[in-house]
Amino acid sequence: MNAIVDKVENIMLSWLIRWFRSLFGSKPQQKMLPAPRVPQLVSLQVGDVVVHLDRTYLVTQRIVHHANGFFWFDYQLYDDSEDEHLWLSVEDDDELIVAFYRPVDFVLEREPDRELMVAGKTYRLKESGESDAKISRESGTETRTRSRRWDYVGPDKSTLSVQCWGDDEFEVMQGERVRPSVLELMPGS
Amino acid sequence: MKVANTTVAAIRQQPLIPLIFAAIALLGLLYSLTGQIKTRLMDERVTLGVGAPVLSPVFKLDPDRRYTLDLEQVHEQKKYNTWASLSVAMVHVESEEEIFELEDNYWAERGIWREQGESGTWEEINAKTRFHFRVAESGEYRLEMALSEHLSRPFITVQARVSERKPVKLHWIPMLVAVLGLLGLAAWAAHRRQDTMCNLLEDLTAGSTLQILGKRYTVMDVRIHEDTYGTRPGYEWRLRADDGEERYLAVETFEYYRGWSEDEIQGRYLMIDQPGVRIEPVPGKEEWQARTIEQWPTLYEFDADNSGLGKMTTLFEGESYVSRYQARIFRDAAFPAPSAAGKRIVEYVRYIDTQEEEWCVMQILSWRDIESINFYKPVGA
Repeated sequence: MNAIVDKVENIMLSWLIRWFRSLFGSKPQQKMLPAPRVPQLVSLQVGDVVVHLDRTYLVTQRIVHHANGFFWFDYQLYDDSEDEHLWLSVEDDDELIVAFYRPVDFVLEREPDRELMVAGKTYRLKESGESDAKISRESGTETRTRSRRWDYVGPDKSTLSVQCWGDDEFEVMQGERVRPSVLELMPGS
Repeated sequence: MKVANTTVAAIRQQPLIPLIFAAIALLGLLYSLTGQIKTRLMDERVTLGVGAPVLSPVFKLDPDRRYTLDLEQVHEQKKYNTWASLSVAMVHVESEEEIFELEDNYWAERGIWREQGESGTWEEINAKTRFHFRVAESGEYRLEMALSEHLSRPFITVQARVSERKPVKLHWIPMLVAVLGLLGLAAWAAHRRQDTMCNLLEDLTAGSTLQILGKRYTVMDVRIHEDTYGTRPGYEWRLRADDGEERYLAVETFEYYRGWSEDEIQGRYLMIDQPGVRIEPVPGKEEWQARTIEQWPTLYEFDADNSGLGKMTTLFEGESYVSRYQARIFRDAAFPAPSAAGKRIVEYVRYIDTQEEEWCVMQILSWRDIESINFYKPVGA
């Protein structure tokens, strides 16, 4: 019944539109060129450029994390002049939470405890969770996988993050919050 | 690229489309009814006898009209067991040409019947004639009326009338059906605007903008819910206002009772979350297992019919991300109807993969609360 009513109404509507167009004429619409892409912290792509404190980084990997309908992002950055890899983490949770993460020399072979002592500092577990993730690489390949994450808070609000990919591949990184406004973003060529 | 459209206005004015056509059909009906209007050209009472015919006054007839001749015997005092044979001719005055002639017998009889011991009276009267005609040429005409034969009545009095109607090609019955049908269609379209709005919103994608209750929001991402208790998928849109406020707009299917029916029916609900509303479990059980919760000053009861397991698919950058959850729905008294704008229901969701949970108070919206929609369409789409 609804479909029939919809159809009758559509016929009537199109008839009216044609009638009004025939009365007043329709002007040809101007075609617009697409606007150039302006990268944002939540939409950086592999190949984009991030500038921070006179250092220039190239985005070499992008990870979209998802849990319960929410998304956050990790970007692997590469500084060619220093030959350094680090991670930029972006979370849009009412406000943008942005931090650089650098790997630390700390080996974990099992799930981390609620307290971790790293480089002489004690970090306490703040939250942990599981997410599924999509990884985009420079080579153009994309992978869907799951990861587990433990976030710790240390003295002076310093942060530590442990991520586990697969069953026993743990990565430990120290974080440093950064104001989004000090980052300059440029689209890749 | 944002594509502005007037779809909300179209929904608002949707019933006007059949109403416009109903108005056109009504004009057609009124026009067709003009074909039913009669104008009397001649109305004379004449006494007829055998012999010389009685001539009526002259009247003008045209070929594009339909005419009716009515003859009726007038009884000053009804006499039974009489009959008379009437002869009437229509004559063109100028040419004296007879257009037609008709004859009819008028009688009035009565008697007594007897059958197998039963008896009664009978009465039979024929004293009326009606004849429809058209003429081939315009001009002045008159009637010539006379008695050709009679029994017991050498004179009879007859009321003779000629009336005209303008023929109309449009018949009033199909026009009346069209008017009633289109009015029904308009009423139906007005009634289902809530469903139409829900169907329309299903096309919302990230980047689209809406104005809801006076505030402008941008769609951040789209979530599709498949529940064990709903036959149609539900939709949820994460919205962000220009001032950074996040809200959730949803179209979901729930079961509810109509006032007059004992059977539950499914309805499409348009809802928006109420941020910052505190949920208090009524003491006794763990919060998520509670049968009753409080959102002051209202107590909400657990609704088993609309609760169950679900799967949420979030669409982001062309990819689908799936989360499974257990949903518990709480309602105030009877489950509200989809049209009960302003009523609230409470949703509890526990995600199975992450064991995280959330409470949400959803308020039912009317389709009128969605004031404008700008669908986002990528260039080339």
